[in-house]
Amino acid sequence: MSAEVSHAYGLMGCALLILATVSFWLRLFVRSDFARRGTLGVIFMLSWIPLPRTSMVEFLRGVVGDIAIPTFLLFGLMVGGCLLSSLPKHSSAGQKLRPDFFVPDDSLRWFFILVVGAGSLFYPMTMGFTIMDPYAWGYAPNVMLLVCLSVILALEFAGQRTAAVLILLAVAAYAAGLMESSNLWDYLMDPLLFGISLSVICRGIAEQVRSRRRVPASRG
Amino acid sequence: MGSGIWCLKRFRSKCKDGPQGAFLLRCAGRILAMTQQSTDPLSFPVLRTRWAFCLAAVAICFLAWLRVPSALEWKFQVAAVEPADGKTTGEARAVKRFLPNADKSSVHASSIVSLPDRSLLAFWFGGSKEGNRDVTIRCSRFDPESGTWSPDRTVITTALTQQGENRYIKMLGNPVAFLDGNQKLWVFYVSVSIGGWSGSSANFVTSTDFGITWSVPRKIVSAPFFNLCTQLKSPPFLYADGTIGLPVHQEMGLKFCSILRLDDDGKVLAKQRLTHGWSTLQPLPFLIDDSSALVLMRYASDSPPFMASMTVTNNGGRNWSPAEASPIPNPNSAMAGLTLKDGRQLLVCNDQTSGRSRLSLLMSRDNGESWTLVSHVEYEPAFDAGPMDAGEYQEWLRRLLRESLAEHRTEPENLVDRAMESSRNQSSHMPRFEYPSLTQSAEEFHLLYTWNRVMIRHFQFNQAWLDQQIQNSKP
Repeated sequence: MSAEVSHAYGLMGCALLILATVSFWLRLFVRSDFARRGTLGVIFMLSWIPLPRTSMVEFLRGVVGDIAIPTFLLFGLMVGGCLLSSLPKHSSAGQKLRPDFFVPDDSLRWFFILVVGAGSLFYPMTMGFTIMDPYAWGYAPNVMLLVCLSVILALEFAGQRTAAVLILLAVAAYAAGLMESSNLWDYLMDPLLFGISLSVICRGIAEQVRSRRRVPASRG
Repeated sequence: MGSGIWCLKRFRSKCKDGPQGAFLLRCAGRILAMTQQSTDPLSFPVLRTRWAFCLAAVAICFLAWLRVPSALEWKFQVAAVEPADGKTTGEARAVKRFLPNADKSSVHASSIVSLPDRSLLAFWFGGSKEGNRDVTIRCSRFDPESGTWSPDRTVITTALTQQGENRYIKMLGNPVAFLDGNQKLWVFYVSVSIGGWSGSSANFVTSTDFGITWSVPRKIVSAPFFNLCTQLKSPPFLYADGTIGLPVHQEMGLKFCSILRLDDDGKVLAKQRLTHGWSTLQPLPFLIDDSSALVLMRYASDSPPFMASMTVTNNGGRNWSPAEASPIPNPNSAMAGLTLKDGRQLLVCNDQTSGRSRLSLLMSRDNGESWTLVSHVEYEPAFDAGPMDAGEYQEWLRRLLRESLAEHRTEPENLVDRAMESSRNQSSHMPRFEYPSLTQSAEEFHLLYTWNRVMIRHFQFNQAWLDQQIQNSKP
């Protein structure tokens, strides 16, 4: 794919990162749909305005680079959820893009666990703690593609289609050469996704611990 | 898919009563169960069934597999070794000169490349101070006939890189020039968007007219953590298939070296890790034959032994030996070198365990097992005892420049004052001769190095001078 498309993807990913961050806070503090949509629209416009040296999206792209495909999709769902939050429940879009979508439900639990599991090994190794460099596998990813296919099929048969779709779209983007990188890892995962997954998993564990504590207390 | 389900239902009803249908019935039942609609919220209508989804997954993975680069051949491209006949032709000649620095900026990290017409191109970074936004990549051309460098000109700026790569760029550094087998000139360089040098990433521009016009800057994505921390120093080499091996190092907490293999378009095909851990930087490859190579690395630890590290390969760079200490002292400083036509290795380094006041030529005849001193390029014995005081140092600088400038009549303005200011910034009245870059053009060798961060120095010598120094250095 052309360099322009890669640049467009990279910049759009950074715009989504800004909007997803804002959406997170809007969901907590702003109830009016009009205010939410207005705020997101204004921030989206502002993020592209070239300030004296650079625009917000260009600055962010300089810092975080191009975000991975699943991160892009998750941010898109977060922003979509914030925009479409007031749709009636019977609307399919409203159901699929609810603002609480990002809460770890059954459809993404295994995906987050996979990302945390893979990232916990991957990042320390790629940062130089071992002579083995798993990031290098992503440049000639024959084996990685087989693993990806196996994971996609396993997730699908385990009823985790959302997770399978996220990985499949990452592989599709690699096939299309959407991003600047020629490394499959960059399509699948990035530190932002790892951080989000880790926080979601930790929050889930904390909630479970809390609920277990509550049960004996209520019995007593 | 609906017709498929209908067929299976018909098949099931036909087999129901037949004695042979029990097994098939079970299979059909399972298939029907699996074709039930997924309950997941993102089940798109077109991928309503598991089988369709799985088929799509296999097809997409197959398409992705088609994009995977074909298997690489692990062989280096090396010129045939011409054994030295021991005869020296011509007059020994060695000359030093400064490169231009029109705006008297702080300069560093030069890289030199020889062109087919025997002229040279030098690249370095310069600006008000290393790390400032006004730092640019400069270039100058050397005419071997007149022995002069053209006025320096800016070829890459932060604004140009930012525009080409659609992302914020704060500062530039470390250009590395290279002429590939198709006579395409590459300049690799690092850029930083936030933080210091540990936040750097690699970029490149190319020129098909030997540096007159340049392509749009492009980013090399070579690290998974926000693509941070890929740095450059040594020039690339070629593999037998024409792909480029770019030595890089990473320095974000840990310090380790790798080689990126790039295709003709600058796309990364492979990455080979040379070392891991905390103490190696700036890999410098010496190709020995088409399957063997030696890589020397800067020693970047605060604890002894302060010797350069080395690793070797015997299978074309597919695997590298564990890093070990070489016999070359290294005060955490960059090195440069090349393999001569007769197979010997010539190295330029600060052969001391602290400071960068001495720059020397070393040679190995046994593929890096042992090294002998050929000559000092810059050396003042007075600094072996430590830094001078300000007055002494200033006087020493004046004397050094008087001798040097008398030869070449190039007189950069206020050079002593600027060198004094640079030494004050370094908190030590010691000269710094660092970041060498070496190339060979016909019978001439050209060495560039940073002279006290205020000028780039050019040391030109010929084969006869080198042979003479080797003879003199023999015990």
